[in-house]
Amino acid sequence: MKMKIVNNYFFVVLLALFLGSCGEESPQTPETKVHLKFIPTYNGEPLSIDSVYTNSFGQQLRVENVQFYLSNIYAHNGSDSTLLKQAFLFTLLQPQTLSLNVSAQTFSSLSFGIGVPGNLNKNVDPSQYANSNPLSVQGSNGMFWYWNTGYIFVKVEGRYELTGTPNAPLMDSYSFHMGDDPLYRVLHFNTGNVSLTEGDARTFSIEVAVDSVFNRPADPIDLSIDNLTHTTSNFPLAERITNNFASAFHLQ
Amino acid sequence: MKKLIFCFFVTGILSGCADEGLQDRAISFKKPHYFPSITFPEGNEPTRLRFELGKKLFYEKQLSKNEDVSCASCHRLPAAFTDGRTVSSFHENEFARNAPTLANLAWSPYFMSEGGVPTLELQALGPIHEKHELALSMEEVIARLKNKSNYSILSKSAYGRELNAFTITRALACFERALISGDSKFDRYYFLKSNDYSDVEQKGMELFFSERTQCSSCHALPFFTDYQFYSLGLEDADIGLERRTYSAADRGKFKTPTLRNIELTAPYMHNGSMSSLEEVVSFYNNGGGTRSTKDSRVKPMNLSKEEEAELVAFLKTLTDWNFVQHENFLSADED
Repeated sequence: MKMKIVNNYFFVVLLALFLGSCGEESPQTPETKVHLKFIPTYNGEPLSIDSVYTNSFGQQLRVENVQFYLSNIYAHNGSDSTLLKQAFLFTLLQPQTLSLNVSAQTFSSLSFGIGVPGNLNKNVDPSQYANSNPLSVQGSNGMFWYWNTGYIFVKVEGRYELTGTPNAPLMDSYSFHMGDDPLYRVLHFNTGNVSLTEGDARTFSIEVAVDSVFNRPADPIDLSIDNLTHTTSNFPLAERITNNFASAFHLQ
Repeated sequence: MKKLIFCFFVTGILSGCADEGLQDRAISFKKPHYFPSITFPEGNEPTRLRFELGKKLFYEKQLSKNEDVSCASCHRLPAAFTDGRTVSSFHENEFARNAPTLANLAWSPYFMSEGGVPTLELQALGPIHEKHELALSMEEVIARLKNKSNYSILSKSAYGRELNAFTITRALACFERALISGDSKFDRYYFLKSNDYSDVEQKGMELFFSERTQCSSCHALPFFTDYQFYSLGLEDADIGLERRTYSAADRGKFKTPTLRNIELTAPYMHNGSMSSLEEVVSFYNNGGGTRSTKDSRVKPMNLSKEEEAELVAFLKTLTDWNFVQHENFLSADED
């Protein structure tokens, strides 16, 4: 009996030591929150997958799917940079706010890449990641090419018709799948001085003006000619769509 | 009876060790001394259970959308892991290609005809997801297989992990690395110095390794491939390596296929457009196709009909009959 009591005390002490040490070694509770809210729009209005839009060539189109990776999301304060998130996958019909736990800090700009940077893209095996990671086999949600391995950075898909006739059915499909290292684009946004102290939460709304894909004044897309690229099938078009899409992001 | 004994063996292992997992052990793949050593990726060194899990997955029809095909449907052992069809897609597909053999993948520096996949583990993901092949998401694969307890047990015992994309791709790669073929009549004659080559085969071999034909400059020993990309001048819609490099200079270039077991892997070329070895040798002898990116070595050889036949005879000595009848490579159902 005495031995059993001793054993029980021993167990309690061990447990206390274990829990104590866990408390010390586990990550500190995040002190602040930063929310990046992505707002897809078309001509300044919230994007609707049911709406029919007209591009600068008078062609009617519907946007049925928009997916894109953002990666290396940083906050910058002078020459200091803090990595907030390695990768995030935006999918049009899913929640569009990225919530980040961030330690208290001051920053004046944010930056991120559209797509996946080279060191995480080619020659990377997505099966190494946990399912919760957007770069994993399951988390990538159709945004990985398996015949020529690498991530699809951006997908924009939908239907169109060329005559501009009101209520005409949109019978034809367009499909833009952009990827590969040369199509990685990095964007910077000035936020003004942001000082986050413990308990603060700050939301940044980022407009994703999908109309830029079709109507960027410098390079509008004529869907009668340019309606399909999976990058390798038409790299010049993939590059044009990539540049148009990169112009779609605006910090509000 | 043999099948029955095998079933008892497997059932015994699985039922007897359901709680504590299965005993695993390292294994080595038997290879000829004239093949280089194999470099295994860290964490996927071969073990008995990794091989067994990979083989089971290779023959598993539940990996396909309609549960009607498996990896083995396009890669059949008697055909040296090809399928005998022109192209192996189950649906219309502009990039459907003739199924390549899986022999000696352990030494391949990259995979697919454009070389766009760097590891065998990563390659395993392609056919599962490809809509013209097995057409299933990994999520669906795992949902189907996780209720089959032997998969879970094998996965945990072989890799210490639940069945997931990591263990599925590793196990498939482990099985495929075991598919070593280097015991042909040619090997016994050339490397092991046996005396059973005929005069015709000998003449064909001399032609094959000659400056005149330059066959061996691309189909190099010991695997009868240099793993590089060339165009034979064939004209079709498949742009080959250009798909990956965006360079028009790479149009119609494909990775050099191995010639080992070539007698069993008809039809030939990336598009399966040639039905016999005679047709292939004649194509080369006439200088190949017309595409502008054609390799300069593909030019008329001025071989006589007799010499063409000698080359064909030589190519037929590259068949490894032990490989294509190897019981360890068959599924339990086909044993």
